[in-house]
Amino acid sequence: MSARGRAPGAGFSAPVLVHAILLAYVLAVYVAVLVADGLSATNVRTHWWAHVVAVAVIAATVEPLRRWLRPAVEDLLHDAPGEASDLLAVLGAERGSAAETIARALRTRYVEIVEDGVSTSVAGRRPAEGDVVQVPLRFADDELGSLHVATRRPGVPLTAGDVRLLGDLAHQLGTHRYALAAWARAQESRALVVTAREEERRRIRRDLHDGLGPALASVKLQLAAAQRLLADDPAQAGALLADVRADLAATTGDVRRLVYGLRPPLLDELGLAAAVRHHPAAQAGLAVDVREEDLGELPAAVEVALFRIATEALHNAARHSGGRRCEVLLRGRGGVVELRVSDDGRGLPAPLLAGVGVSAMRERAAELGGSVVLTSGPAGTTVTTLVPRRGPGG
Amino acid sequence: MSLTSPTPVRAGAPPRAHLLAAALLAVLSVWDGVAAVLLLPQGSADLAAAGDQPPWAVVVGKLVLSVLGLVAAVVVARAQRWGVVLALGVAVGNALLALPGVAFGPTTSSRTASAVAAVGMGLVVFLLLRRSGSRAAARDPRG
Repeated sequence: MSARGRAPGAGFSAPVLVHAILLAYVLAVYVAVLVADGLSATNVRTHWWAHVVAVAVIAATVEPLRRWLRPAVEDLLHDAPGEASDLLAVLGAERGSAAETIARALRTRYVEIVEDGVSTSVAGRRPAEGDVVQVPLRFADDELGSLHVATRRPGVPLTAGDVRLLGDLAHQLGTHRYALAAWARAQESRALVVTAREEERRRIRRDLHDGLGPALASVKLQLAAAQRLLADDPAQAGALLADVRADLAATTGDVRRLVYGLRPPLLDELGLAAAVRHHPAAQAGLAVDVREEDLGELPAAVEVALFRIATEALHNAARHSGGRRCEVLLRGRGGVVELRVSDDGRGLPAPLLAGVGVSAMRERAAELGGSVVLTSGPAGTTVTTLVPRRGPGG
Repeated sequence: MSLTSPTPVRAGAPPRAHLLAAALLAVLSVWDGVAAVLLLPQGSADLAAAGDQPPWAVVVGKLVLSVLGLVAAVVVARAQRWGVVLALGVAVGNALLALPGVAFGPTTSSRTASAVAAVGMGLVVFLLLRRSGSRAAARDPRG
């Protein structure tokens, strides 16, 4: 117990109280036996065997009584599961010292915290299995690990109050651990978002600077040359203008590709389902059936991600599945949007080594807080994507 | 009391056994206290001369323990741990004071009263130290 919150009872020595009670017991038994033998104020003569009986009774019962008393008194003096500050300190403790903090707060000889199968904090030496209580660390339905706590004394189980407290503590610890993990994931995601945004800006800048900029400068020079030639050599000026026209057509294509990379225009023109239906990946030999159910209006980020995942999955199906048909289902289910792409091909090879395409699909879904699951069998492969309808942060 | 060292208070209601012990201790303390208050005005010399009364030291001791016993009973009922410790001390002290009276009480009533006090205090000790019957049998309280 911390010096700050020292309880009055905790300063009282358990052995003193135990022996005081034992002393009273010994005297009581002795007196009771002798009184039964006739001891009184007027008769102080007792039989010798009364003393033997008293000693025998005491000898037979004092040790069991002491065994009962000791844990009871110690529990009485120390059963308070720490002060509130001790228990709150568990949540503030560093991951490595959390077990020590719990052991101090609960006044137990061994505590171990296991997270994801790995021991992250240990205090004391693990006693025999029967003396260890294991409490799961949970958040909602997720089991994050377990808390192992030894009884205070070998063979003496924790009280119901202790176990109840352990359960509450494990619940708080689980919530705390989950919050820490979520915070770490959020930090990681934020860093990824910033990195991705900067990469995107760099790519656009490079495309504009290295592609569109020189192309327009070249057109400008060609137009100037054509202007000079126009009076003297109209035929050559015409040929030059034809070159300029071809260059402008190529530049327009570049601009279209750049814009398409930012957001496929098909999405704005046709909507998600039709955009998938009309994508070249859906025209690459497979009979593609695209269905839409309760999709509603989706945020731009969700639309783009689902479109990219769907076209990647269609592309993979066309290239690798060997199937003839492919079904694409886009379905809104409450706060979640489901995209399911199923083909009737030969299925995935086992073991599956996820390539760039699959990893990119997963990353796109993860950026929105969603997931991609690939299932495969003799009847083909299904790529199921679930993303929150509200998109990132939703 | 400083702000950094608050008095620890056990939250919630006390166990039923502790409430019983507190009630028993309160009754016995009132009984002993009243008896001591009635005997005290006689003074030590008169008590010793009467021959059929407890010794002056026992009377004073009983009075002090009665006051402490009432305090302990109230604190136990308020579920504070230090009250339990105090109650145990008072019960053991009372039992030790009562034991000679069981053997050497001058009258049957005094011996009976001493025996009742000793047994009652023993019962108080037992009730205070009786651990919860619902032991933590389950290895996993949540699972």
